[in-house]
Amino acid sequence: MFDSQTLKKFEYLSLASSKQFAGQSAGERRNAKLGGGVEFADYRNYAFGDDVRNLDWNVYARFETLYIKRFQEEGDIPVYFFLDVSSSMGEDATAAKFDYAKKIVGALGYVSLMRFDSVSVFPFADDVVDAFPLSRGKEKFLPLADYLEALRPRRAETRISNSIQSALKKIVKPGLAVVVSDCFDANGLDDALERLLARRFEPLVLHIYSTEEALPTETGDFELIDAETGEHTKVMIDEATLKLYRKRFDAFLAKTRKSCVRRGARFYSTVIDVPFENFLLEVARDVKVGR
Amino acid sequence: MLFSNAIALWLSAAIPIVVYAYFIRRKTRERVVSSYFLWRDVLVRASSPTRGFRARNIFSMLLATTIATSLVLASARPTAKNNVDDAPLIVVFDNSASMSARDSNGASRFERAKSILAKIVDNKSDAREILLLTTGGSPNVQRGFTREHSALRSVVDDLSPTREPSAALETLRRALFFQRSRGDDARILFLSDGAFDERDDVLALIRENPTICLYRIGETLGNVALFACEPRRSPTGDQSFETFVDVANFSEKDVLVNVEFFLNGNLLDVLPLSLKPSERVQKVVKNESLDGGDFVARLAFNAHDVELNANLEDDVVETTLPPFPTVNILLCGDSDQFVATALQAQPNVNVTKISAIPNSLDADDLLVLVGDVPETIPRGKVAFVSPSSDCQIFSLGERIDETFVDDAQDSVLARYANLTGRTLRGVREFKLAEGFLSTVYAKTPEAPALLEIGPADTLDDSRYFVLNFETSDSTFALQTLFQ
Repeated sequence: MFDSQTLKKFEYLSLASSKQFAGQSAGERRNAKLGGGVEFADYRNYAFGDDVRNLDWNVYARFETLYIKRFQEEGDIPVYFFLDVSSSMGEDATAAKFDYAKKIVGALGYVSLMRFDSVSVFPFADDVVDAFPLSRGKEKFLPLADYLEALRPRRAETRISNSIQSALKKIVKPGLAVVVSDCFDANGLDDALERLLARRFEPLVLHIYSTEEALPTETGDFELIDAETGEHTKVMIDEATLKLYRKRFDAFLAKTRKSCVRRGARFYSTVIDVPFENFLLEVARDVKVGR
Repeated sequence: MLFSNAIALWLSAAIPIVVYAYFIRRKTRERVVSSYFLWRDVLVRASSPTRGFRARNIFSMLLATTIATSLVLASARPTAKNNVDDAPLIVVFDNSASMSARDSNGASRFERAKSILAKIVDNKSDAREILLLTTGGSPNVQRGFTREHSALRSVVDDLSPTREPSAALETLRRALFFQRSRGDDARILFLSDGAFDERDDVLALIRENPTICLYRIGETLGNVALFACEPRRSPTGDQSFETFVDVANFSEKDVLVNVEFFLNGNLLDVLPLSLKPSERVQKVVKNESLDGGDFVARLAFNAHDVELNANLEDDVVETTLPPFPTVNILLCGDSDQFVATALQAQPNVNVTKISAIPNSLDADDLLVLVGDVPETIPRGKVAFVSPSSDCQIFSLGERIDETFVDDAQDSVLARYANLTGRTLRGVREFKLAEGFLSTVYAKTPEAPALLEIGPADTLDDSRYFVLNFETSDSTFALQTLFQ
């Protein structure tokens, strides 16, 4: 999926998370729990049974009061990738949009594994299918890469909310929910986001689309066939229609972004013509937030 | 419309290609889209169903075809050689006698046709040439091709109806000849009431030539016409005259009509005629009169037949009847009492006996020589009476291979009139009274007046002489009997 040079670049990246999650294992991310970390967090009065190793003797020397130093515990973050494998992503595995989406998941998965985060992948269309189980450690990247390589688009329509609802039933711990999709769901993202937020997930929506989807240029008589449902209609597309469509796409994009932003979810949108690495840098640029 | 570059019209073969290309382009292509629901929204909002698009596209195809056609025509460089209003116009104007007829509203066909022609002339463009032909009697070019309004208007104003039949066929052929000189866009306008001879041929000619436009004037009305009335002096030499009358009934009913003859205002005779529809009657009426003068023939109808006669102009014929001319006869030669008596018996003859042949003759004098032919005769009208000579009888129109006078007999007359190889023109055979045999009258330009006198062949060997001759002006005829 990636050559060694590219993977080397990914090692300097990190997926940002504005929330603190209680990880299962020690990791590089601050945990919601206070405990065995190295970073100072707070003081509290000594209580019976506290580990005397945590007493701040300097403070005791000055105030003759016992205070326990509290440290931020560091651990991993579960990162759940929701990868759109509906027909709208492409007809086969080599479709540009689908390949682009897989690369994003692969790269971010690699970054997460390198940061000792747990990674899981939930391919979805109208429902989730054959999830990649939550895995930790960079040695899990190869299985993840093989898994992604083997993924194929499904002949099914996009139902994000339904898919996430199904996935959430299988997830125990909340974490970062990265939705990689073209978001061509007539029902929108609202319901899916609400469900994620209700389970204390931090949603991150990566919207990808092709140029032809955003700025179609061909005019003439077409029989438009829905890639997902097979529904079709005969139309004559002229410049005026194209103009209307572009406006409609912009409105769709704005609405999707608004849905995310209003709920505190980060939203990144890109056309697949943008080099994949550039988009990845944009998504993973803020590494400090999560440290 | 003419095309300067007619070869470019072959480019029109490319127009079907344009249409074909359109239909190729019109093939519906399948397109799988991910954002189908967005497209659906757009198509609903656009409120332009496919049918509307197709209609618009068909319109665009028609537009493209029109543009292609226009380009082809433009490349062929069309030239309007002449605007229709500027195209040369040949007006064939029927001024025959029938155009004098008046329709039921009292309007004259001729005046109406004339007013139409005047309007055409007044409203014509300055660039338009008009040639005016009339059909009355024979084709007559009243005005050659001209653009001048004033000249044409003057000719139109001077037009008048004739009393001749319409020579429509010949005039139209003449018009077609003129048309060819002006190209195919020249038009022929035939203003006529449709009453012309050789009607079927004329109509066929009009059908064959779409550039001829027949503008029919007048209503279809009945008419009785006095076609001809020609009085002439009786060639038998008596004091009578014969009148040739030609009357036709063009109505669809039987007509009783009288032809009344007037000489100097006095009623001479009445000829009653009963004519069936489309019947034409020709009669010769004989009347006695030495007097000449104004001779008038007029149709007179019964009161209930007046409505069948649309044209009053062809009901009257006016002509002049010549009087019996007085002939000055100079009788020279042997004193022949019979000849002198016979000549003097004529009512319009002044006989003067002379003893010697004069050196010259007046134009009205007739020198009658009796006996042998002299050595010299003066120029003028000379008649020889030679009872002893043989008579040569010729058939009418017969070629004379021998001299009128036998050269072998060394006739002196041969010096004056050599008729060898000539055809007797103007030969006329007179019907003579019973007991007379036919004789020949001969007149040639070289011999203005020749008189042949010969014995009639009779069974009882009686000596009959028939003297028949006519002067060059055809006003004198003499017949008498010598026995």
